[in-house]
Amino acid sequence: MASPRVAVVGAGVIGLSTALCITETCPSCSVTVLSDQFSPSTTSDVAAGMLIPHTYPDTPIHRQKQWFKETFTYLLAISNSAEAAEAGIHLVSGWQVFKSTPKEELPFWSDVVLGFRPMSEAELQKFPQHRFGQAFTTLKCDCPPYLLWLEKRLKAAGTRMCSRKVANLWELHSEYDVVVNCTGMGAHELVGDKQLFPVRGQVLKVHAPWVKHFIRDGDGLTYIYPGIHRVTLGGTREKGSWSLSPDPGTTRDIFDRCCSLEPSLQGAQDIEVKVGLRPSRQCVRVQREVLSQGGVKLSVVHNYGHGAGGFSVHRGTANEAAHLVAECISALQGSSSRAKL
Amino acid sequence: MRVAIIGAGVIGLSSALCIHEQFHSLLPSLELEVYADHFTPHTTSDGAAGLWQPYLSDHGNLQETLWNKETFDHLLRHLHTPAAKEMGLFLISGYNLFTEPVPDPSWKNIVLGFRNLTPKELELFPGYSYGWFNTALMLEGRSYLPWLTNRLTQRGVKFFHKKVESFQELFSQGVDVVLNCSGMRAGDLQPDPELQPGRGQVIKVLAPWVKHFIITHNLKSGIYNSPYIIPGSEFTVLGGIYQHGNWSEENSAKDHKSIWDSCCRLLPALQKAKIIGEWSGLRPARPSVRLERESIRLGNLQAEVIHNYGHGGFGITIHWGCAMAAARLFGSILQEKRQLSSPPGPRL
Repeated sequence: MASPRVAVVGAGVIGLSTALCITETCPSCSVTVLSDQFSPSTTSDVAAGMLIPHTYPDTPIHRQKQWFKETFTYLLAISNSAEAAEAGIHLVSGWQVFKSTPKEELPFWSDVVLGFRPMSEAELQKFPQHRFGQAFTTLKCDCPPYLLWLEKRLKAAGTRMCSRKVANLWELHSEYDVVVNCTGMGAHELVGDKQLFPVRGQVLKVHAPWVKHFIRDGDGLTYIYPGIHRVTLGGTREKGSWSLSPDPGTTRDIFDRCCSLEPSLQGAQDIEVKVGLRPSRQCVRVQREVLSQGGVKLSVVHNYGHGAGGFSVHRGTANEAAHLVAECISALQGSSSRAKL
Repeated sequence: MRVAIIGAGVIGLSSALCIHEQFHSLLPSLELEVYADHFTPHTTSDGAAGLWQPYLSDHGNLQETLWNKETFDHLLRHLHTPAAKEMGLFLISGYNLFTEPVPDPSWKNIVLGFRNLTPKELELFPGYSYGWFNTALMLEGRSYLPWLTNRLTQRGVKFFHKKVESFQELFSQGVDVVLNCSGMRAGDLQPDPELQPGRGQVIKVLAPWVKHFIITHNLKSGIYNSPYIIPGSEFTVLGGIYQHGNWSEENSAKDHKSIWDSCCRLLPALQKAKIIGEWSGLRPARPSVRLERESIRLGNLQAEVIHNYGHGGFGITIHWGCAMAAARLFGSILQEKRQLSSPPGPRL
């Protein structure tokens, strides 16, 4: 197999970063990204892109930590380079505050982010309704810039981008040797994964350039994430809701909750409302599979189900998926040489 | 009782506000007048980035450390009020970087969350082996000075666009007390060889991805002669020039190159930042702030001057503490003139 043909379905942060990792681990592969949505209309474009991990109940913690660490290290290097502005990657410091002391005072990722420590009494005075807090410095991936930067890197590596809705993975079987499924919420239909469910998130993106810190309530529902040009205010976690229409009552509620954390947001301008469906699962599905149909086989690598934590672990899961693609190709090359004997 | 304030930078305007707040109800005849040849946005205070941070060492000047603390606490109390945005006031965190370990600064317990940098953090800044992280405040002159001006105007304070040539000039017009907040030009009103310019130059850029201040220190070359990056609400300030004795307010190409090259080395992402302006200003530097009364004999009159100048590169940092001290001096003048029956307490 001189030039294995790999199709990556999905062009959100998972699809694009997985495609990029494949070009890096398998330079002889010809990679095509197929998607019905590209930036700025992917779920990733709605997300703030903060590197604060979500904990997946059924993925071993050491694996989640490895994914986060790889992602953090990768992005930290970009943030410290001349490409930082174009890639939309920047450091941001801030506070995670709790109304009551959490069971776990030291999250698994506390030694991956920078400068993690409990907040002092003086710092907590800024949050009169909260009794405990953590201060740290982490990274933010602004979208669309990050996705556009990934697309640029992919095109430079010879990856083709195709606007196409894939209704069935078997459609791709004659044109591609390996199919990588990075369809996020789309996997519900595409591969019939009923363990995948949407968690609806509504956010506001506002102009408030004096806000230089992130603030996150430990309950995960209220957060303020300053990006390059806009501050993302959130949010909601509506399990099972498929609605992509902004709800005005929710907008008011998010704004009020964020203003109670950061009163100066009352002066925020140009409020834009966005909705995304977090492709949620008890564990992220990073897995190889060989599909069979009428004697024909199709090698598939899945990389979806990142829920609320896509940005935090994207590079780590992309690397793992790329290695699974390499395994698929080895297996195909092995069996094709056996077929020749 | 006519009180003239010379100077409309952060020192003049805040001193005027502090005095009016404390004494206007006790002294109905109080009339405040601000005289200046430059008003916002053309004052030295407007050119400063606006970061609250004292120098590394207070040289044993505990009074200045106290004034710094009073200023920080005063501003912190305003942080959650609706006025904060209009004042140009917001929290900001960042890094102070050194090439060797240094003692903790006098202000470590004034700022929030002061700590040493971790090894991983120091890896972000090659060439620096030690440093601090803390949360401080920004008070942007471009917003704060207009806010002070509005408060003063609401209170009936009058403004005069005029260069005052001497204290006598004002006293002969019937002014009773003069507040000398003339910053760099105080020497024109009364010679003061201790007051010297600390020339600075800054480049203003658009770099909205920078969320932290980064201040490097070179203990040999002295304060502000090492690159610094301070992100504001509309643009980011790049600096690192402190030239003692240089009176030039012209931008220097050599200084531009030095600032640009050193800041881009510090933060490579700046290479893509768009330059939107450049400015040079003179920090009114003095071994210590001159904050004291002076009685001047003019014929058979005793004229009172309160000096409040020489705040170097920490005017914004120290301004409110000095304004309060100036107000206390004013109070003692009033007492002596028997204008007040009892000493005024601080206004709540």
